[in-house]
Amino acid sequence: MNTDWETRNDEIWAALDDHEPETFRKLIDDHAAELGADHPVALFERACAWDSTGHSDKAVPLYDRALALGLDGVRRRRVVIQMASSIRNLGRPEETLRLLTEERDRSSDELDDAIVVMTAFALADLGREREGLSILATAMAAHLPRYQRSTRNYARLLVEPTAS
Amino acid sequence: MDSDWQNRIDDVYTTDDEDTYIARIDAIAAELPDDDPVALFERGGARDATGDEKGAVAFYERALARGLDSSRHRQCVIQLASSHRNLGEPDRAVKLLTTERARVSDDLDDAVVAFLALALADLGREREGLAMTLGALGGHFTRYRRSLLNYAGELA
Repeated sequence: MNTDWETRNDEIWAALDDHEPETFRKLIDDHAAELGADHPVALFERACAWDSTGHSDKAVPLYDRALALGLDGVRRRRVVIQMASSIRNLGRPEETLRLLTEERDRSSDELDDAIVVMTAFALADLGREREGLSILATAMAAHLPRYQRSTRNYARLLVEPTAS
Repeated sequence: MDSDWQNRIDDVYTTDDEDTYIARIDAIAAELPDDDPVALFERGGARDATGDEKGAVAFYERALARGLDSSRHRQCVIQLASSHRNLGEPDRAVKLLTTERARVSDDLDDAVVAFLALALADLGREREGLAMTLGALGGHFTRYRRSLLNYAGELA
């Protein structure tokens, strides 16, 4: 996989809305095939194509295989997020929550907020909106030009009312 | 009021000597007329910073009544709302922040949303607060923005 391949990949994705779902998946499949059927990145991109065209159920097994074959870097983390999201769409928020909690403890990068957001959705599905809001407000604090400390503090107090 | 005045106000908070905050801020504020809105706002801030929420509310309300520039107005509303919330009156916080959210848009939009969401949670309206915060945080996303907004729409 080289820069050209990535550039072309980005171009196909940028045109997602210009195609019918089937046509789009064919474009991704053909492009992924250049890497070989069992290349983890190829599996990942095909899974994403299913996911982005409303077929989470078809995406999950491909994500699983991509992880098993060894995906690294940002794509590995994206698999976890997208698989967690797909599993949530299939009505299994507990599993989503477990996957994301493990991932949050595992590493930190520019996708941290995406993990927090997906975790909050799963918590909301489980009727645990207060916890969801707490982690969201904590993540939001980092983006504020002011009130970072107080926002973090109040966010924590939402779920630890006795602490100070 | 000039930038030197504001700098001296801001410098007060760089020290840990909280017991002296009010006296020191009041002394600097006294350089301006009694009813100067910025001076009132800062005197409210000094009370807020030292846990005197009621004292803060009184000064903040006077400052707002006198009229602050847009940025300080927003800070004052956020801080007033937060004080109301701490005093057990989240409904007042929700009212103030909802109005403020519709008034203008600036770099404190997210802060308005965060404090509004916290106040909504106090009223048992966590789900609304959650959806609102999701939308605001999503504004910082380069990836997943679309799916986030779709899901947030489903929540609300």
